[in-house]
Amino acid sequence: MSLSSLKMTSPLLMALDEGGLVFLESVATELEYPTGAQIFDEDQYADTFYLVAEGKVGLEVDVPSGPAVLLETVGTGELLGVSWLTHPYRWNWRARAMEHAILVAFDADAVRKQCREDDSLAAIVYLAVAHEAQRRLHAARVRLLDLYPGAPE
Amino acid sequence: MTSSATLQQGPQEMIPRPFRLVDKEWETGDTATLILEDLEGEGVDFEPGQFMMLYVFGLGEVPISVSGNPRDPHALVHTVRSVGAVTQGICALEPGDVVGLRGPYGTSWPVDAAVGKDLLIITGGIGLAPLRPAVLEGLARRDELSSLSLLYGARTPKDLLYKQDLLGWETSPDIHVEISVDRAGSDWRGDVGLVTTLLPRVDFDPSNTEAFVCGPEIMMRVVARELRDLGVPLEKIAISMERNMKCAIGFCGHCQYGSDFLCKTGPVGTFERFERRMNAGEV
Repeated sequence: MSLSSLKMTSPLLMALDEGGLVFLESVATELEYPTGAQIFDEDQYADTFYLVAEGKVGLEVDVPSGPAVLLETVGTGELLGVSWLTHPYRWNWRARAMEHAILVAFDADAVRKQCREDDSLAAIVYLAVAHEAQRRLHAARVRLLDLYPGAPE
Repeated sequence: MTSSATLQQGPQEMIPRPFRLVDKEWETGDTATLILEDLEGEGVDFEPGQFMMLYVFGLGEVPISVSGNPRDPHALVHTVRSVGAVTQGICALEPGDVVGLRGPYGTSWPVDAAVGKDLLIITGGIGLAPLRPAVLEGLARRDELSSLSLLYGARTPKDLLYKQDLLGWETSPDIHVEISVDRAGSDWRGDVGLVTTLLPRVDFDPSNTEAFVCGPEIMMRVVARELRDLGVPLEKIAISMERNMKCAIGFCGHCQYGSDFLCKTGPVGTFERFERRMNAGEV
């Protein structure tokens, strides 16, 4: 899959110049996951990050008292995974395909290494991931307010 | 000074008309949708977003938005969450019981202003109840709109209202529906997250959009500011400010919100008009 076809839906790809796109393409692999397949697990080493080209991925966590809790969903065009960029490079949650999903997987080690050598690429990648992390932090804080009254459990 | 004509109109408007409960359906564990018929046979001509005063004899009167189809004045629909003595009384009604109603009151969603534009309806929790008539009106006038989209956030999947409507709308080519919940088990196949995270999935032109937003005030602020950041002018974002309407005809002042009596100049107004007051600790 050419990254150009995903450019319109991904802020990271939109921000990259031709050289950056060529580099990311060189470390990218297209992967397909059937519904229910695990993509990564919590506390695993984050050696990859993903763009969702098609489908929906859920971030979930096991809780002792019952079935897994779905924390957030990541959809088409969105970045899956931000923990790969900073130490300790470990996933905080489990990711599972909620429907048939096509992901573009990037070699996180290679991208981190290239960012150390290429300041302009690093600036674009860090800004894109920071923007995504800020967006999710804002959403998580608003959700903490428990805005919508619900029926008694 | 109040004119004598207004004084004469006031008491008249305070007299409820009898309506009979025809049907009741529980939407969630504490929220029911009621269908009422006018015993005098006149029905209620209302605009999307307006509210009625529902009087349960012996208990009291509360303002409730109309949730039915504005093109069907003879089936008056209200969705009521049981949170206090009167709303508990309303939800406990059974078919055949009679309540008193007066109205409709208040301002409405500016559906006419959406003609030729993208109509974006964003709601959370029970906020879908005052917006359901706008969705139905939008569907009835779909040919006049560029697009029609509904983004709906709820606490959990079981808190979603109008599940049958949602199923129909989700499969309709006339409306783009996105639903998200705040928390869910792993058996939920839909989205989990803040309702604004659904916005990138909607194809709309911010400079040619009318947005109707209804939900808790913090949610409306968050949504309106995100729409503003995407380029939707503040005066094109309508919100609904709910307050404790008592007389509903602008006399008693219970619903006063700064310079507004929301029963008369609300509940629906632009975010531009309300924004500064929404940031104030006390108005």
